[in-house]
Amino acid sequence: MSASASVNLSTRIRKRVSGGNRIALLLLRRWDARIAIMIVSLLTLSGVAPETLVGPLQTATTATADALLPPSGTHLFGTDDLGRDLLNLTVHGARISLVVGALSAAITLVIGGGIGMIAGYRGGRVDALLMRVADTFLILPTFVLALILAPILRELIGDQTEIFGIRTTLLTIVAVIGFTSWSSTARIVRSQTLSLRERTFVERARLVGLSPMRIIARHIFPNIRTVLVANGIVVIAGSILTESTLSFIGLGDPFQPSWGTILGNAQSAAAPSLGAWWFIAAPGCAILITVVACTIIGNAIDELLDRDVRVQR
Amino acid sequence: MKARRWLLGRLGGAIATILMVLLLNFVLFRLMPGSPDRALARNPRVSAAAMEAARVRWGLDKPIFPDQLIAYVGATLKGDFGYSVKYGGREVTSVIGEKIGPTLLIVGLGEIIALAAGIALGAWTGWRRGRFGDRVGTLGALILYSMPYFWLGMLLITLFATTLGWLPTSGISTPGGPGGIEGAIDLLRHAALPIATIALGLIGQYAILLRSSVAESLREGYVLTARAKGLRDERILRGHILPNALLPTVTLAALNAGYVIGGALTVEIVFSWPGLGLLTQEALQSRDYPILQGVFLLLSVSVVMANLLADLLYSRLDPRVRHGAAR
Amino acid sequence: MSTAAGADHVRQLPAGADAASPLLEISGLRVSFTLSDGRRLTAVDGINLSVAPSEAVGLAGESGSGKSTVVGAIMGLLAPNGRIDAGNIRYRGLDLVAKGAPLRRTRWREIAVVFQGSLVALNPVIKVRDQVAEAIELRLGESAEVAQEKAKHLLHDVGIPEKRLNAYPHQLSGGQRQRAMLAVALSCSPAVLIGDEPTTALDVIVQAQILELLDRMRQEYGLGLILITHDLAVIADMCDRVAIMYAGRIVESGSVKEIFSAPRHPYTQALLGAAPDARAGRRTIKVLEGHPPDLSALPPGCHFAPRCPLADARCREEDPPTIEYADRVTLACHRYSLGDGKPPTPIDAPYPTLELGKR
Ligand SMILES: Nc1ncnc2c1ncn2[C@@H]1O[C@H](COP(=O)(O)OP(=O)(O)O)[C@@H](O)[C@H]1O
Ligand code: SF4
Ligand SMILES: [Mg+2]
Repeated sequence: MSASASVNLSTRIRKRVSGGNRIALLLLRRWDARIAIMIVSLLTLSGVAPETLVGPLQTATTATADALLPPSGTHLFGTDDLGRDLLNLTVHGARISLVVGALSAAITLVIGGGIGMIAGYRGGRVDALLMRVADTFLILPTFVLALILAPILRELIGDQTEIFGIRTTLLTIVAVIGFTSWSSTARIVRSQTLSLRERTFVERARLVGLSPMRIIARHIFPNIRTVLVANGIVVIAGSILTESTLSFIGLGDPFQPSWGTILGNAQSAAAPSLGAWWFIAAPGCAILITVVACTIIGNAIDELLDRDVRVQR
Repeated sequence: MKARRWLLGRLGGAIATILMVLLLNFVLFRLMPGSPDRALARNPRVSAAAMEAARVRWGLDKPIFPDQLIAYVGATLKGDFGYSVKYGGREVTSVIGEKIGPTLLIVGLGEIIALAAGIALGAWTGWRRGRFGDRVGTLGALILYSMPYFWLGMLLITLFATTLGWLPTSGISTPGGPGGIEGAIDLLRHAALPIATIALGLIGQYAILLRSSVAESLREGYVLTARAKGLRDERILRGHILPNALLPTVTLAALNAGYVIGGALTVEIVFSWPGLGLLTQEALQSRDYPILQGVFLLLSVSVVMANLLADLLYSRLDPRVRHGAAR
Repeated sequence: MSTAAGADHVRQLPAGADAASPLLEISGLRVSFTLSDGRRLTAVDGINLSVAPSEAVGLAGESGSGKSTVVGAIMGLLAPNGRIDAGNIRYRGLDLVAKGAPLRRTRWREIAVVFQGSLVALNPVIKVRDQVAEAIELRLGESAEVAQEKAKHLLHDVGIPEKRLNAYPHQLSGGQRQRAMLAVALSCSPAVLIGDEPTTALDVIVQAQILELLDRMRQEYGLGLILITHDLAVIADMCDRVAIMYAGRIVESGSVKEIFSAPRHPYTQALLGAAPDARAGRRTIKVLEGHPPDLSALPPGCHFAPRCPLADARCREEDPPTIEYADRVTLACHRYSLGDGKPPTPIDAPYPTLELGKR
């Protein structure tokens, strides 16, 4: 998902970006962006404090209800095949899906942003080589690559440890998504950097004798920050989708279930052929709403940036 | 002249991409838990003689670089992808070969339907950009585009197979079912929902792409000329805008083919459709890496080919590229 | 040379039109655009303009003065944020502004345009011959074969070599493309042809060729020609009458002979004095300082006042009225008034001058 959504983004070449704060203000004036931001904030809230909202995560042993109960007053979203409350699972799933999505996006942005800035700033052979690699990653079925990489990585690290309270199973997913989805970010950042490189303030910095790393850090990066934010939000949407797909296939962590893991359980429990629509509905809608909201925000920022350029020209 | 150079460049790029996939696969092969040696040894179904032959073929007794790399690339180019762990030590190529047909059926038909519908929706919304119809259509496209394929599939099963009972829930045919024409109908009834899932998942993407390039074309001078000529809207859209707007869509659609295939694989899991996707999941569960790598390689090559094809198509459709003018 | 597609074709006026009425007549036209922040920008502010068969009228003015907006209004093709606020545009008596105006019938069959920049005005993925044939087939209802045949004649007529008939726009040179665009414009034998800066971006020699072709077509087809340009020399060569536009208004208009020999409006004087004239042996040029005003925030009074050496307090407060001191000869400047019916005496506006070095 991130690939194609960002290709949309990269087809527009932006000359200059400024005033991140102003963009944020303009964003709040658009009703679609406002709704989307509200949704994302609510989701983040439930991701931050699931216990306060729905109590601790229910497991097979702590579940009390009957299996596969349709939605009712006591179980708003119904129960799963082990009698766990789907509202409980979905709210807890928000934490995993959002954290994995955000971390993957962060890695994607670091790799993509770094490669994009280096390629754009250095130009020449370095650029040609890096972009060749980026194009390859853009074209390839990176999802299948992620499928192979995840178990390999997991067997290499071992999956019984935790880092910052996140189990390594999930961290391998984060790493794998980051590694396979950086290319469109790199393309966008590179084209930005290319045009910034020709600007006078960068030229002056070069004349003064600042090192390339310093110029990138002090003069290039601050000017592409807003673009990175716009792209980052779209990348988060893509990461959440990829994560849910990987978890659905069974690469998630059963002890820290994300929305995709829940849907994977639903599939194993044959929920579709049992007609247990609620088992499918709650986690799936959560994914859908998150991805749509993120895409709307990303596109809105993108449009505002675009208009900014048009006004300044 | 210039056009030929352009095409040669594309061809070179495609070859470079495939070589990079091979390199990636090679590295993965070494990364795999345990050496390839042990991976083979773990496989009880491979005979000692076959293992020794493989060792020599892959040059496992030689240094990793360059001998093993060269041996690996050579073997792969000859179609030797190794042995499946799960499928009784059968050759990867033959296991994969059986699964291509079913996948091609649903992905191919889904793709065709999605292209037709996506183009229609994208043209319609792009033409009305900013108006009510556009808003609704674009939101619909965005929603379809944001749905995980597997979830869409599960919803369709719940509604059309389980609740309404119109179509079978899974599989490729009714066990012990009839042959001949009736068998074909049975196959189509089983394929209908998987195809619909893939098509619906793709429509959004095509519609969004085409909408933005149609909306962009509306600002072009030739559209103003067409309007001034007094042509009807429908004619302007079909005769002037679409021939231009379809071009970038072709390219972007091909670029996204890899993503699409990845998503389509999960559809097979939902429907127990015996194609590459189901194979991939089984291979994943039994850590059958040779199969996974084979699938990755096959899909990569297909995607690279799709892109090359799109480039060729582009150069056919766009006279500027055909004649080597700037693009 | 034959006039295959055109002159012998018996012109049938659209229903409701009346052959006795003037060919094209614009009166009091006012057009404005809504900006994204909600303000309105008046791009054309009450202009009058007309053209008769076989007549060539020049419309001159700096870029941004509203020339293309006039074309958009005539064709009913203003940008979506544009609106005609007041005025009339009549083709043979047919109202082109009214709701439900028969634009579908007048476009191209009666009034055709050669847009600026043929590279963008022609469709890049369609052969030029098909672009010429398209309107013949779809607007005149001819069969495909007849349309192709006529297109071939027309392209020949405008000077596209035979072997280029099946070319795509990018395969033609800039001059050839503009010729092809002219063929597209003439495909339905219109009565009025508008050239919106048809030769901008072409080099001088090609420019002269295209203008000559345009002039020949006007005579052969009896076209009423509106030629838009910011190059006054072109108008001097090509046109019978001229209208000078500044910031959405026509400040002076009349016969080319009259206006060019005795420019009265200070802006016209600046435009005419801004180029050295080798033939007249003039080596000093007038310097017009400043920029055209921002149309979305116009001060009251004469739009030209901030740059006018003759401006006084009244100029900055009151709009100068447009006076018509002879038939279709107008002037909008406070410094001149309708005297005894004779043309007012030109007043030389004291612009700073620049002496060009002797060669
Ligand atoms: N769609 C539009 N929206 C807002 N302003 C416009 C639009 N089109 C033209 N304008 C403004 O109207 C004025 C006249 O433009 P135009 O008619 O193109 O001038 P010209 O053809 O003489 O160069 C300019 O100031 C231009 O900025
Ligand atoms: S009205 Fe005044 S300012 Fe305007 S042109 Fe005449 S003299 Fe100059
Ligand atoms: Mg113009």
